[in-house]
Amino acid sequence: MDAAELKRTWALAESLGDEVPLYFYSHLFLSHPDTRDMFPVSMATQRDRLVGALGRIVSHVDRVDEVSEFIAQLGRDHRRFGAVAAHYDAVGASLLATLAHFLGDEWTPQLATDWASAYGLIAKVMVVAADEAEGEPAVWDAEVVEAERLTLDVSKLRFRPNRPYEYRPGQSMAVEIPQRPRLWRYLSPANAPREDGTIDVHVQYIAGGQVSGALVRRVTEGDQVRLGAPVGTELVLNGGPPRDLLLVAGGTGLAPLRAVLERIDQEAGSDGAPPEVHLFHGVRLPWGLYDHGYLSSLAEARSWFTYTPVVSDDSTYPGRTGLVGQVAAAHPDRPGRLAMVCGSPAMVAGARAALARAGTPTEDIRFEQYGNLDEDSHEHNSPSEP
Amino acid sequence: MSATGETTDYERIGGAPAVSAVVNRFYEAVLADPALAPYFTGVEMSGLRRHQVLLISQVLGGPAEYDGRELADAHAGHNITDEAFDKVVAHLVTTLKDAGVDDDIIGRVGQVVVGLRADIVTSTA
Repeated sequence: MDAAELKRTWALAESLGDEVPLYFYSHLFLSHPDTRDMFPVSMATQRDRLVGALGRIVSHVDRVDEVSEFIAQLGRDHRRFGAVAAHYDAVGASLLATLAHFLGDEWTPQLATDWASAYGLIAKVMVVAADEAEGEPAVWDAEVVEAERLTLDVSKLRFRPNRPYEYRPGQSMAVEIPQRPRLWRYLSPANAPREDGTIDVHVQYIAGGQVSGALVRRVTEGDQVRLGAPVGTELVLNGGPPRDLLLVAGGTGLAPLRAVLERIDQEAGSDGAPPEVHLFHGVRLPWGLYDHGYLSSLAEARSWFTYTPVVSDDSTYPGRTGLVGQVAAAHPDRPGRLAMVCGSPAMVAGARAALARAGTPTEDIRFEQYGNLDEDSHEHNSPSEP
Repeated sequence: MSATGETTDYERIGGAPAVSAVVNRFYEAVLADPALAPYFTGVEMSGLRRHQVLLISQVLGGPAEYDGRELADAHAGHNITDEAFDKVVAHLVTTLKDAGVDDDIIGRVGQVVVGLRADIVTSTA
């Protein structure tokens, strides 16, 4: 399989813009009309998702070992759509037809074979993972037991799943609210798993978002939501000796890093010294520091934890100002630490670049790719934190 | 409006003129495809187009009714392969997409097209 050729041809197809997903879905619905019901009634924002996700995964096929756990999680997650092996075949056939259509003369038999093998590999991992999860629920029903507006545009929701929901701090889950059926959004638990099973999420209003307005303003106590299986591998603490951490959050990208922090705090004292943790929380305006109380008091109580709020759009702010990624990269705590970054795509890109320039090796800069799978998933992150 | 008072797919895409235009563009694409053109050698295209307009109109809930031969009979003896069928589907996708036809209508056309494969594909070669 010629991975470089797969990437090149995918980039070529991607450069053609909206026509590609439009063709893909038209082909999928024409050739497999039974798949239509798996998608939202309005396809407006859906179009770029599946194709974008497929392309990104398939073009990483030369590193499939590295992403196989993530792909397996996606397979388990996709059970919430009722996706079965036949649907993977349908999607694969339409993907190949779409590439053939747009690549024209470049679509050689060899390339067709390579793309088919690449897709087959990914689909197999997803289907096998889904089959292995057969005894587990595909979807968890959960009740909203608390809905609290934290700032002008951020709310905290507390869910109580009706069955045990096992996840690891740093993971995310697809969430569907009754006000927006079939429009699933990835949100991250902001707490480590609790005895009572409740899960907090932080949601940010994004102008123009299809779901975020309802999430922030309309979801209320007593609403029933649905949760998909947990996904995410990059912001999760692995076993082994703990490493000192640099947590870099933009807006509600704080949530998964806060869950990681809680887990470290729970385990502190139980086995030896906890790692040193420095959390940078970047927001545009001072009142966006929605978790300031908890984080400040934790920093006072724990010698191993440091909290630095960073404000980008208010130069009169008495604390650190500027872009959170740059502030974290310039801090003397940076060298030697494992960095975990979460926020809007722009914030993540900026922070990654700043950390790399400062000298943190790329394998020590962890961030989630799943945000890219779902164009609106960063609705839970800072809207414009650059 | 249909008898039930709902707007039909046929009306939504623009009625008879739209269907004729789509069918014309569809056959232009099919005949320009070197892998498909040989199937149409010696075929009287205006009759084919007329039947296709009627068929599509009927599928979309329009007033016309298809009056041609059974599709299995019409395609028998042409040794149509799955590959050729798929190519035709691809051209239909392009035509419908370029005409701005909505996904839900494409899905309903698809339900008909998928059902036709068994009648039309007669060759495994």
